[in-house]
Amino acid sequence: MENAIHVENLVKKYGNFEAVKGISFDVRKGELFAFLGPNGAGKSTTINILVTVLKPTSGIVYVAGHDVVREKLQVRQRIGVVFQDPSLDSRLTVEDNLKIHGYVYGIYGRELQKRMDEVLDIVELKGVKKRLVKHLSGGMRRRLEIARGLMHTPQVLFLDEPTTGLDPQNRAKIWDYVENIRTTGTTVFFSTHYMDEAEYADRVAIMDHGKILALDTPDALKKGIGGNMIVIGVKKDKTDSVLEKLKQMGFTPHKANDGKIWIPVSDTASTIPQLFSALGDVITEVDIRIPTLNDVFLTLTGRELRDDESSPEKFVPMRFRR
Amino acid sequence: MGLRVAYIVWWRELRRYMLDRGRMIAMFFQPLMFLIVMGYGINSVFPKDLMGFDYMKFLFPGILAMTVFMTAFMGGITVIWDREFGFLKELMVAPVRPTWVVVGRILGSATVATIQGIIFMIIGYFLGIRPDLMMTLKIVATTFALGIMVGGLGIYMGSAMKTTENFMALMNMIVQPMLFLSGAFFPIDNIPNWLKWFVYVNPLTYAVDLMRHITASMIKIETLSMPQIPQNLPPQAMQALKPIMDMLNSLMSTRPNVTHFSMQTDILVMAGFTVVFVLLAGWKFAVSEGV
Repeated sequence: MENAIHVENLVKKYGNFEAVKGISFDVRKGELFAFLGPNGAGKSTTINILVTVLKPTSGIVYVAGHDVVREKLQVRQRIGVVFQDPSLDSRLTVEDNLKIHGYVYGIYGRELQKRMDEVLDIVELKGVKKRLVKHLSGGMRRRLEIARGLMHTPQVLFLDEPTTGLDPQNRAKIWDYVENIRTTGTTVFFSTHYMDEAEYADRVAIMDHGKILALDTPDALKKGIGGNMIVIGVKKDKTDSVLEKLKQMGFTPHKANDGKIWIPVSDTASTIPQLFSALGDVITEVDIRIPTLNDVFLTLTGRELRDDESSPEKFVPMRFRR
Repeated sequence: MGLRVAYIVWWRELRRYMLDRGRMIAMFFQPLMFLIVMGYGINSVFPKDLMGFDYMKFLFPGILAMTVFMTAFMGGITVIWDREFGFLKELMVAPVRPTWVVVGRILGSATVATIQGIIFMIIGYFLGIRPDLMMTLKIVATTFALGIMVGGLGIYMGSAMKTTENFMALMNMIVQPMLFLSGAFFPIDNIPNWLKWFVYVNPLTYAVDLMRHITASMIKIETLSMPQIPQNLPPQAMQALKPIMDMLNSLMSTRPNVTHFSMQTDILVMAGFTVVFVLLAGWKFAVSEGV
């Protein structure tokens, strides 16, 4: 079966700056696919190329079976897009915005009314049909944008950082809706810098500095870094010598931003005594971590995914946790 | 498909206008002030008979054209708003050619301007400016044509300008000179030649002139006739009256026309400006959208 998205050696340059450095990947039909990476990794640039807003410098990009450069209009008819920044007409009502979208995509008359009700149902906005968009809350607006993106039943729905700036309740709701949308067979492609959100995806591409560092299911990615993590705290002046010693012992330790040392291990139970006998009283604390995508990112780049912002983990609904 | 897109973009302009009554009312303030203050003012200083027309009625088409000009030109600001508030992105990923969006926008600007024009004519009716039905229809048609011309200009400018502030500054900069140099306030027959050139390159001039053609019979006053001097006066008296008669004669002969060009010229020049502005708008909008 043909893939929903096919990207080969995609490069995007702004002058001398290479924002996307020759990436290749495929997204299968019906897949929930995530782009995970810090701000400035090239996620938005890639999405903007996929949705035909930006022209690639070089490379082959097919979306929904059409070339994004030569068959722009065909691609556009088959995709729905929710941009990172709002793109509603806030001076008009909810209904007006959907009506405009419908007409532009060739939906009108009775069909328009039907679709309008259907998509408003999905995002639970039926009650505010007649309200001016400027009187909606931020979360409602984002939901309306998702509804609008679904109006013309696209084959691929693009969500660029769909939950950025939303409160916990709205954030959780958005993922509920995405789950619903998937049941209709729509391919969903989203970007995020929240690692816990990437966990919902069937497959995750980890992106940094314009490159895809890894691409697999969240589970495989986590297994790939070697089982669990042992996190040890050591006396400040000893950090470097401990790192050296761990390497000699055959581990691949990473120093995190807070000075703690992360050690990927396959067998936690036997490693801990081994560490204590080797390092002794240098260790001030020990913690065991079941790996997250953040750990994967740390292993791949030597940096934490998000150094400056707090993790939104606690906002994730229980059933999404793995 | 294209027409449907043009229609919905046109509908959007109208819908926004209907939802934004503040803009509707604010746009009347300046023109109404001009019409009432200047109209009653000048009429009270210069006798209508001497000028050969009722100044208020003379002024009306000019002020009407100004209202339409400002409203249609303001349509261009929505291009900038869309860019600033993000709606442009929705249009950028839409499976449509920008040409149809521009067509819809220009027709939207023109329609909104025409509605404003009609409301202004209703106000005029209460100020005693009462064109007959045929005249009214012709004025409305001219209003719409002017709306398309200026709508094109506005969208071109809106696509070329980066910010709302720039656009407003530009508007303030060009509206006043365009208004004063359009013959809206005075007949252009007798102004110095160097000044005429500014009037001639002003697109608004031709719209004002065309509207004067349409309303000429309402503006002109044909009551003034030369005083008849009794033939049996003594020669000395005739001699004494001669300078006065000469002066009256010269006044009569220099009495300006209410129109300056022929109707055909007005229509042709307007059509020319319209084509240029609409093409510029289409080109610049497509370029600035980057699609």
